[in-house]
Amino acid sequence: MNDLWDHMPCGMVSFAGDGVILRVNDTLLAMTGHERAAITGQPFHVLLSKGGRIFYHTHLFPLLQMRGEVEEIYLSILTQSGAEIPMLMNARSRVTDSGATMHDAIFVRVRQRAQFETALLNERKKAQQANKAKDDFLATLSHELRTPLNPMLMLSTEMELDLTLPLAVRQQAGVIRSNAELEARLIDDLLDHTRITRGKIHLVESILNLHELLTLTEDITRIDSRTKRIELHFLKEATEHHMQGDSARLQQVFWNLVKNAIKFTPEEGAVHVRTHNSVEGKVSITVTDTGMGIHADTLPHIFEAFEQGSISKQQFGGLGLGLAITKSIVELHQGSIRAESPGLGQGASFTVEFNICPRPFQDAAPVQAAHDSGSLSLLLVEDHESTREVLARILRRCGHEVHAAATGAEALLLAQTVEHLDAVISDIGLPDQSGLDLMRELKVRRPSLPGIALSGYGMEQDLKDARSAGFSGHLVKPVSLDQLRSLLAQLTAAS
Amino acid sequence: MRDSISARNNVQICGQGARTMLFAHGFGCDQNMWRYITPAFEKDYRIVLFDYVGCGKSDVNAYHASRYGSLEGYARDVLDVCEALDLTDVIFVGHSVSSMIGVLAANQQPQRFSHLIMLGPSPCYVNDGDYIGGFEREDIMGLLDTMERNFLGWAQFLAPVAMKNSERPELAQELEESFCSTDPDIMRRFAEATFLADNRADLPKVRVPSLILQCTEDTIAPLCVGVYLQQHLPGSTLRVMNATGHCPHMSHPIETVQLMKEYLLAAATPAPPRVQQDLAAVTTAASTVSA
Repeated sequence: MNDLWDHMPCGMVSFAGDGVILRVNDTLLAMTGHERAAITGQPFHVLLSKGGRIFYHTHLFPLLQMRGEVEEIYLSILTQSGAEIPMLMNARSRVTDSGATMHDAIFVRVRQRAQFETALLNERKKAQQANKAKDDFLATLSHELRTPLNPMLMLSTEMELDLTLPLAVRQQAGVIRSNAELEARLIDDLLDHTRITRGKIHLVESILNLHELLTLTEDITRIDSRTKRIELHFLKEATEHHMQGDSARLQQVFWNLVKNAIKFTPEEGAVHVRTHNSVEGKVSITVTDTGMGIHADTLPHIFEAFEQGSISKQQFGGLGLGLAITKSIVELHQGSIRAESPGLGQGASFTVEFNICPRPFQDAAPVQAAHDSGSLSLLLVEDHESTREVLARILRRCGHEVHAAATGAEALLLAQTVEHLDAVISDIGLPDQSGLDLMRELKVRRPSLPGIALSGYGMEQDLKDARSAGFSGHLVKPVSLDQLRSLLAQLTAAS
Repeated sequence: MRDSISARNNVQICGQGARTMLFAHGFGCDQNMWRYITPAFEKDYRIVLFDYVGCGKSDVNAYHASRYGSLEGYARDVLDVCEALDLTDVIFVGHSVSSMIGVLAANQQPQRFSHLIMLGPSPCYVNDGDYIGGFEREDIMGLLDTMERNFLGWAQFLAPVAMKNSERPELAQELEESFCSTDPDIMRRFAEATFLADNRADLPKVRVPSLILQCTEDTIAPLCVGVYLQQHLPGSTLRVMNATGHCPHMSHPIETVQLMKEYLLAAATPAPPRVQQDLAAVTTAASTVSA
């Protein structure tokens, strides 16, 4: 038995519950060059490098103490000359006849494996850095792409609404606006994707009536379906259809699914949207189309980013991010999503399933339509010249008095000289100071002044920062005129 | 506020008594490491246990790298728990890094704390001139490397593992599954925040009396660090334990409980005039020094 202990092809150590080495085998001594007498009676950690000792005391020892067993722990064992040998350790605790706790550990040398791991770790770090660089680039790119869209969208909206212009010009302006909006949505997808990959999406949850949300989806997608002469049916069959969730994000899910179904269905096809309670405690929404279907090989990858099955992107456009974003949002809601298709040319169906929650006593009142707020005196702070000019012009056309500033300093000067101000609308990124600091300073002078923050990002953190700086509202560029007007009406009505 | 912090930090309350003991776990584990200690106090104290955000069963979504990049963020967790439960007159018990987290919290809101009990504390792990913390910077890098390799794929630190352990039936399966499991990136930042921290300047500001429980042969917080602490922490008492290692509450719970009770008992009775003893006494095991 002693022969076996000493000649096992692995190092063996027994140590007491308090860590003192009781026994080591010949193999361990041969591997490390230690004398038996020199390490017996010493604490186990003398065999470890200093970094390894911290790991032993903070991770390994507590784990062994609580679980009574550890496996495949990587440790660097010190040789007598101070060199480090990479080893894997398995250890198990037992209680001796006298009632004391003992730990028995075996050590296997893993030199080649450690080298391989080092290479793997280095490669992983490189890949992580490259991935982060890509995400950062996408975030910056989307931000930069959004900024020039802002005046484009505003000017075209303004022209479209300008009754003094000839109808043909207004129609052309409408084409420009809808394309700018489309581009803004594509950029939103990119931004969403980068937020999701960085774990930056947080839900703003409330109890929702899914059928109401789907009515909104129906309204938005109706025009597209009519244009393609596709029959669009909504069958709201679920009897329980309330859930906890973020209405804007869920709207995005339904809109994505129905829009996709319409996009991939040829003219005169049909799209059915059906809700049902097939499983207790769950509500599912199935979107079925008579479109081109999905090949069995591509079905498993359909929710991966930048995938669009085997179809050509040139034919259908888009970035291939919609379903990846959809799946992430569904999963953030603890829901599930699946895709089914009998094969190419035979249509497809997408089913999302969520946990239901009890219906509240009274459904939340629908969002009130924007009232116009009459004539207001506004301080507009925006350093991007064309955005500032267009915004100012539109606001003036709405009947407001606009005091425009390009910097924080100008804004503070105006705030001192202009006698009456109803609200401030400010960009977050100003050349001389942040819009957040500006708002804080303005609040000191005029505590009741409501503010609307404008920014290229709509990150949840931005929203929080804006709120804590004293802004009452936050709009992401490009800002639509409707959004701005309704927010202004709300804020000035509230104050 | 109360519910959200309770959920975020997985706050668990047990025991009965007018006064509260707040237990803060150390780096690498979670509140379960206190399970051999708390039963001894449940009869006389209200016991509050929690996990720092990013550890144990805390809400990992509440983790922000910027907040938890330094020990101040963790001290904020302690104060958040105190505020959420409206705690005052708290006996704070911190293991290892939590001792300094307790110091930071007590310096911010001293009115909340009556005593600090520190197990294996160190105000600075890295040697600096005459100061001996026990480690060089490269040793800390060695720790990070060891952690990284162990987090690479060996499941037990990462994902819940089902362990069969017939010899320890008292341990709930649930505990075994989650104990020490962790997110590698969070642990790496926690390791850096812990072992590269220097809280020596915070010590003289402490106005809350404290007990330093110093193990014999603790390589993480050696005896000289305990002595340094006792000299620089106003109102501190140093007890050198017979216990060896760095986790006396897990390896020597009986002695740990006994020393804690002695300290709390002495603190509850009117204190005799404090005597500065010869520091040489510290070198013998289980001796006491008061500052």
